[in-house]
Amino acid sequence: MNFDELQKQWDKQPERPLDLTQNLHKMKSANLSIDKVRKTMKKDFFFQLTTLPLLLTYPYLFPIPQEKGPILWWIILCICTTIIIPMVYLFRFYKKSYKMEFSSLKNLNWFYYNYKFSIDLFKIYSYIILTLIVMFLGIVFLGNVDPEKLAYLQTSTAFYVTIIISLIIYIGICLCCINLWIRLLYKKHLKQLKEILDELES
Amino acid sequence: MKATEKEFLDLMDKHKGILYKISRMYFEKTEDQEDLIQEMTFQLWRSYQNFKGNSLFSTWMYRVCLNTALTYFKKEDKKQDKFELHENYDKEDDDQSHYKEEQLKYFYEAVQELNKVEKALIFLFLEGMSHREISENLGISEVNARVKLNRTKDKLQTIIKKNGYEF
Repeated sequence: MNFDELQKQWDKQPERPLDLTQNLHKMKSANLSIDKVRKTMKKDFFFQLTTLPLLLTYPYLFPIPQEKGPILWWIILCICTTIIIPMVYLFRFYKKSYKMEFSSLKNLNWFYYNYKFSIDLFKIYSYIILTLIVMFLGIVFLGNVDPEKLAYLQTSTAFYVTIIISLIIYIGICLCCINLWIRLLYKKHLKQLKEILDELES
Repeated sequence: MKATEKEFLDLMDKHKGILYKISRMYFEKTEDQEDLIQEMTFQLWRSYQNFKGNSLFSTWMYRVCLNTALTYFKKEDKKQDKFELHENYDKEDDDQSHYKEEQLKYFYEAVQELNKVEKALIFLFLEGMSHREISENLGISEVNARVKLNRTKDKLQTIIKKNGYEF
C-alpha cells in the first residue's frame, strides 16, 4: 500500500453534502461516554438528595423515646453532613466535566481520574452512611424495648449472637447493593474510558 | 439567526470535510456516521463559546472532533441491514466509477478493524499532519506518535492484504 498515493486520494475524495442548517440550540448529545456519565450523575444526584428529607421525617413518623432524641438528631445531622460533602464534589465535577479542547490524552485522563475518584468517594461515603444508619437503627430499636425486657435480654448470649448475625447480614446486603449500584450506573463507562486510555498510553 | 451562530455555521461549512472524513473513518454504516456527525457538531457548538481564536479554527476543530469520536459509542439498539448500506456505497461507486475511489473504499473497510486510537492516528496522518502535530493533538510524545503510526500503518497493510486487496 502506497500511503503517499492514498494521501492524495484522501484529499480529493468527494464529500457527502452535510446538512448544517438544523437548529443548534435543539441539538442534544446522545452517545458520548462523558455525556452518559453526566446524565447518570445528574439523576443519581437528585435521587441522593431526596433521601435527606426522608431521613428528617423519620423522628416524626416513628415514636422515639424523649431521652434518645438528641443523640438521634445528632446522628441524622452526621448523615446529612456526610451526604452533602460528596454531593458538592460531584456537583463541581459535573460542572467542570467538559474539556473537549484539550489534547485527547489530557481530556481523557482528566475525566477518567476525576470520575474514578468520584466513584471511590461515593463508595467510601456510602460505607460511612451505612455505619451511621446502623447506629441510628440500633438506638431506635434499643430505645423502644422495655427496660426490664432489655435487662433480661442482656443476660442472654443468644441475644448478642442474634444482633451480631443480623448486623453481618445487614452490612453484607448493603455492601452488595452499593457495589451493584455503582457497577450498574458507573462501571461500564469507566471501563470504556479505561480501554481508550490504555490504547493511547500503550 | 444570531451572528455567533452564523459565524459558526460558516466555519463549519468551510471545514465540513473534517466531520465527513472522521465519521467515515469511525463507522461503516451511514446512519452511524450521521449520528457521529451530529454529535461532533453538537460538541463543537457547545465548546465554541470557549474558542478564543488562539489557534486556527481547523486545529481546534480537529481536537474537539477527535475527542468526541474517541469517547463516542454507537447506539446499541440499531438493527439495520448491513447489505442495504453496502448497496448505497455501490451506487455511489457506480456514479463515480473510479479506480481511486475503489481504493479508498477498501481503505475505509480495512480501517474499521483498527481501534479508536489507531483510527485517530491514521486520520491525522492522512490530513497531512507531522508527527509533532499528531503528538500534540493526541497528547502523547512525538516518539510515541511515530512508533504508533508506523505500527498502525503496518497493521493496516496486513488487514488490506488479508482482505485480498493490494494497492
